[in-house]
Amino acid sequence: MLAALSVALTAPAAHATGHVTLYHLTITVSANGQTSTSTILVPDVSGTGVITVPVSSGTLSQINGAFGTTTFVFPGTYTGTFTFNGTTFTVTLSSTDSFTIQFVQAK
Amino acid sequence: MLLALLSILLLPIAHSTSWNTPAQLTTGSITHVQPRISQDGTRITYMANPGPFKTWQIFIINSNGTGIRQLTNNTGSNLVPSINGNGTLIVFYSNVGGTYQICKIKSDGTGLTALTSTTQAVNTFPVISSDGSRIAFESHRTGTMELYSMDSDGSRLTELTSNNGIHEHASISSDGKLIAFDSNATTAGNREIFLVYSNATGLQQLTSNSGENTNPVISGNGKYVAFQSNSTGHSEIWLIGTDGTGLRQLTFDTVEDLLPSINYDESLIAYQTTINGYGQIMVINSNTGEINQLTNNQDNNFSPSIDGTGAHVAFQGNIAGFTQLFIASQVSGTVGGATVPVNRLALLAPFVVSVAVAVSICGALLYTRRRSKTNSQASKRRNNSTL
Repeated sequence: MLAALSVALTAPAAHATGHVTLYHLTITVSANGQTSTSTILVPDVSGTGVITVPVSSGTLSQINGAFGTTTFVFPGTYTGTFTFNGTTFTVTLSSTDSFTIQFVQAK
Repeated sequence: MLLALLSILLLPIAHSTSWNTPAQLTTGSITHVQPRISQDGTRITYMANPGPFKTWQIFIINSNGTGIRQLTNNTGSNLVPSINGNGTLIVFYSNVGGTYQICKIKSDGTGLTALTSTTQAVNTFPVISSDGSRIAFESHRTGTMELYSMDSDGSRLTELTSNNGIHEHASISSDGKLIAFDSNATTAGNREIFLVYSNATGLQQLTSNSGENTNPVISGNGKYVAFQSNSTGHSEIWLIGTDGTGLRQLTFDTVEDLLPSINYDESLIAYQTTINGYGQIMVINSNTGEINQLTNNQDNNFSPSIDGTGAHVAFQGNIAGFTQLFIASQVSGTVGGATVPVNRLALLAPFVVSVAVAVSICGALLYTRRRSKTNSQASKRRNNSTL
């Protein structure tokens, strides 16, 4: 799921007009006593501060199950847990930039 | 002794601040985020995602933990509330109608009103002045994201910025007249702090720091702006007067100090820092430099919001997988950690009065004795002359 999130958020890495706002999003993943943190740049191609990410219904369900929401408003921090192959992962999304990411079901 | 007494009285009088252990305000298996406390410290608005819709809804709670009320209950996302000074009016943005619009609602749950009505453009991140008169927000209605202001009834819509920069993090003074924000519309392209009056006059760049200067918060009295800057290599809290003077760095540590929240008279600034890998809430006294750590746990505390007097700080922390709201309060009797303004002449008054009384008494006694002595001598002289 995390891979899907990262790909979905980082795919549009450029914009034709050259004016794309990049927001910092820090993702922390903890499992089995180990923690990994990385910060990605989330491009706001629309320039509206509201980033809509279409995902499959399965991924949408996973995000909702882990975080209890599919809309993330920043500045903020959100912690979710999900289990994969018997291992429980704790994922924290945090940013001090001001933007909104909403995951929606791809049509 | 007199000199010693005077020296004590003339020394600066500073009271250190003590804080109670933060009280948990919310419970339950839902997420509570984005707390914002009213300037009078009585109420806190926030967003949470309860059933049946599981989308973000706007809530309000008394700062003593009573009176929790869900203000919205719809299928949309109702986001990032801002509250006026006495906690009676809340603004937020919502896509319940399809496109994100600025909305307002009273703290009793009545009067839900959409203040904007754009068809395509989003309107986001509203902040309302403490007096409830004016709202600043972001909007994409011209094709680029710009800052706007309007009266709290939606009238007098005013575009505050009009260029291709990124303008964010608007903060508005208590009287609704002055707005601070950050923007990359600078020569170097880095983010700096700007000011503009809510009627769109007086736009000025307040800082010319290196690095990124963001998340400005203007004191209620409109005299100072606190912000975070990474000009030293990592993010620290800074303060500058709205007249452009008095720029100074307040925090000096090796971690990221973020998201400042400032009280009315700019004496106290709450912010988030990281200690041993966990987010903690701090308060710094801008007069004395005294720093108080309000939290010391592994809850990843975030998003502090300080009230007007600086006596209360609301924030969020993660407990058992769910984000809850907390409030830290100053121990009764401590005075904000600030150097308390003291009328030292008033303090000296009892001493002066005592001295004056003593002098008067002594004077009267001396006068009486002298008078008595004089009378006695006169009587003697009279007796001698008679003789």
